[in-house]
Amino acid sequence: MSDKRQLKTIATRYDLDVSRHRDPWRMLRLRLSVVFAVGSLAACLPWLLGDHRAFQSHCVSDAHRVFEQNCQNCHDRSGVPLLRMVTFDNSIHSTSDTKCRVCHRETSDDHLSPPMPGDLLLSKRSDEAGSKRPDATDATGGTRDGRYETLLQQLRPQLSELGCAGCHQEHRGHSKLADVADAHCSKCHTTAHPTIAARRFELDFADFGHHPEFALWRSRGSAKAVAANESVEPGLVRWEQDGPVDQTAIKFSHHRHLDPRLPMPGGKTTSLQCADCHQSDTGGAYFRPMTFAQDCQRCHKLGFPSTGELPHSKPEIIRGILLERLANHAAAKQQLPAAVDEIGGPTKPPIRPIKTEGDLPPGLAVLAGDLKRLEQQLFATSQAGTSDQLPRVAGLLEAACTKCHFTERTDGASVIWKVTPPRLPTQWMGHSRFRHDRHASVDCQLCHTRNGDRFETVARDRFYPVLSDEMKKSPSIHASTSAQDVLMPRIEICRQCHGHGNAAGGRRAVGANCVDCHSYHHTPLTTASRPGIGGLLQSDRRGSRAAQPAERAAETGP
Amino acid sequence: MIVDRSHYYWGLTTAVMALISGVLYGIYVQSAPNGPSGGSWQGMLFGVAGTACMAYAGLLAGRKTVPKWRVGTAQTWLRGHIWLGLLSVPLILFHCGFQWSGTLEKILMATFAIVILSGIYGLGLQQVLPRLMSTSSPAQAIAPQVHIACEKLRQSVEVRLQKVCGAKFLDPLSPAAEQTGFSPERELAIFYWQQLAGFLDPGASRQHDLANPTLASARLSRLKESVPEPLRPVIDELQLACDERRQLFSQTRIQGWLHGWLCLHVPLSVTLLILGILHVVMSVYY
Repeated sequence: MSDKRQLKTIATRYDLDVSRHRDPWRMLRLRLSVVFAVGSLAACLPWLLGDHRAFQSHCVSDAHRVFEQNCQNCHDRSGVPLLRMVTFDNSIHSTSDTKCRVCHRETSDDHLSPPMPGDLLLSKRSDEAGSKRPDATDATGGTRDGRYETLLQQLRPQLSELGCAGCHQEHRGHSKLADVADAHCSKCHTTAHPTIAARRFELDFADFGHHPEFALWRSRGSAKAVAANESVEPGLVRWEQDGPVDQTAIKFSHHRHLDPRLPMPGGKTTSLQCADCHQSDTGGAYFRPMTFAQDCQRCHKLGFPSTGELPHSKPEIIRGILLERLANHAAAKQQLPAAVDEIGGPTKPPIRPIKTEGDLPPGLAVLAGDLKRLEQQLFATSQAGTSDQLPRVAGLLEAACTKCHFTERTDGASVIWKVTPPRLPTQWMGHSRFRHDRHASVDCQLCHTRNGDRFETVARDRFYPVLSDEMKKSPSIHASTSAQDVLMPRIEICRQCHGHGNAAGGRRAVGANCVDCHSYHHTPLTTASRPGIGGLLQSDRRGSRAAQPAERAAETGP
Repeated sequence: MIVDRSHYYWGLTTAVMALISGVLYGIYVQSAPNGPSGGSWQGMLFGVAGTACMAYAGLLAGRKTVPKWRVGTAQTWLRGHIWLGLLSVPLILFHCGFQWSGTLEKILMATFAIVILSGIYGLGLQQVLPRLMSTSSPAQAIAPQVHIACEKLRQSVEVRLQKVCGAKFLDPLSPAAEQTGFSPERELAIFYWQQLAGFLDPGASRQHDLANPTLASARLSRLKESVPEPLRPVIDELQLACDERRQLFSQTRIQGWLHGWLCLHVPLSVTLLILGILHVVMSVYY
């Protein structure tokens, strides 16, 4: 289409004084702009005058929600972001440690109190100077103590400058402030790594993808160390040529107890599951300690027909019970006059308790020989539970102490038999934490395999009724015939699900930050004491405390 | 503004700046233990840079109010508005670390997104519509004076018809005029008052019969056949007037597209400015 108008006619059709005519579009924009400006200001006014939560980048952590509305509770400095930008220093925070300590005095002292890292460690080092390891001299000729001092000099300002907010950053969308990013941990640990003389800890790694094998599965490395059975976790395992050996002093066969046709008293059979014995503790994270009364006694009665059923107690108490039973038995057999109450009441037990052979009534001293025989039967009879052979059904009711425990004879003592404490650990991998309840959807035997090998799907029936030579090599827990098998997972098993990256190119569903498994510098199992870095590094020298015996089991040993 | 080869250096500079910012952001993310944050000095620098770009883009409106100031040509300001406005997108995203969880942040980012997208939409329209307008509506009028153009067009047609029809033009349906019987001038006047006058009115509807070129052409052809030869050039002039009026309709519609997006872009830019200032003040305060 072409314009057929003449310039003259065009000119006559317009008002040449253009400024007299306002553009309606411009007027509309202007009016809308005013409306939007006033509207946005009006909408923000309530936020400005009262609730400042609308201005925060993310919600605060769950624990701080109760005072989220009052920003001044934590923020006691203004203009800090600007200062941060001008000084190029991210360690400046608008919340001072003083504000944190108002509520978190104990934990903040644990992290940053002056006596935390240095002096104790240095004095400890000096005390142990006489027992310096051969490798305690570094390449520059200086001692590790010197490097240690250097480390402490580095750590002090680092930790002081960091402040609470250095690691625990609010308004990041975390529900827990304790969820500290890995980089905060690895930053210091990498620095500390060369200063640790006893390499029980591997610190020089950035994330779970580069996490070293669990200490449980690491040997000290040298052939000499292996020969000396020296382990990274000396309390829990003993390192031998073939790998780690569980040091628990007990005899137990998972293979036998997981038999789908496990014999029971009365000719019946049953099929035990893991949860029948391993029951969660009240918190759900771990399992309550195993005890004879709760986990064994329903099937295994301690004692023989000649002794009667005995309580799962100390050898001294067992001896007293045996003596008393022997005395009563002999009295009944010889028809000796029973003890009679002076006022003609019913028959009473002997007034004087029989605890030793010397307490036996006159005429019954010959029973001392019977006592020794019974004790021998209980404490010295070989009744190992690691045989591949299934026990006789009757054997379930005829259990000596040695069925599960190791015993030793101590000649010269009043009670000559002693039971080796089983030392069942309440928690393996004491420097980490784990929640079994959060892994309840995973079958136990997928993670708990022999020697930490990957689980192989094998039909359960192939292990029973007789464990063949071929199946003995299986990593399955059904092939574990000895309590010496270490049934904890290697890190490789955890990495099947956990980790940020996957070298194979696949995706991992679950993350794995340091704090998911580790606490901040807390000595294992004694979080209440909160020893800080000092305690952590001291524990390195003391050796493992992870293998603390299950006190209850030790105290109530047979 | 047409984006042509003259924008080459602006585009190139913007791309290079965005690339450099991206690399710096990558380094920053790698070194930040808790991930990127707008509150870190790196994040703040990105924020300042992004805000500066947005501020420059926003100053275009101010520049238009003082055209006599010698602070760069209008074209330079418009190019800067386009390219620095676009550069602000990666800078602001780097500032917030691709996260917006706070209430104000969400509103800010939504507003920012609408402003940028509407700007891109408007820029796209400006590449197409002016050309379309010049081809489809060559009889363009000055946009604010379309109604004047319509009025003048109607007046010129009336003057022409009055010359031709004489006294019959003013009231062709009066009893006196009806007594005269059929006359071509009267038919012409009736056509004008019954159909053409409404169509040439500035407030005419686009649904008018004569807005349809085929229908208009048919009616005018029939009218042309019913009048004697001397009157036929007048019918051609009426045809031209109808065409021009249709072009003005078309121009008005295209002007609506060309300026309509600004009704969203500008007010939301003002909102963005206000909320941005609030964000800066409160962020710096805490």
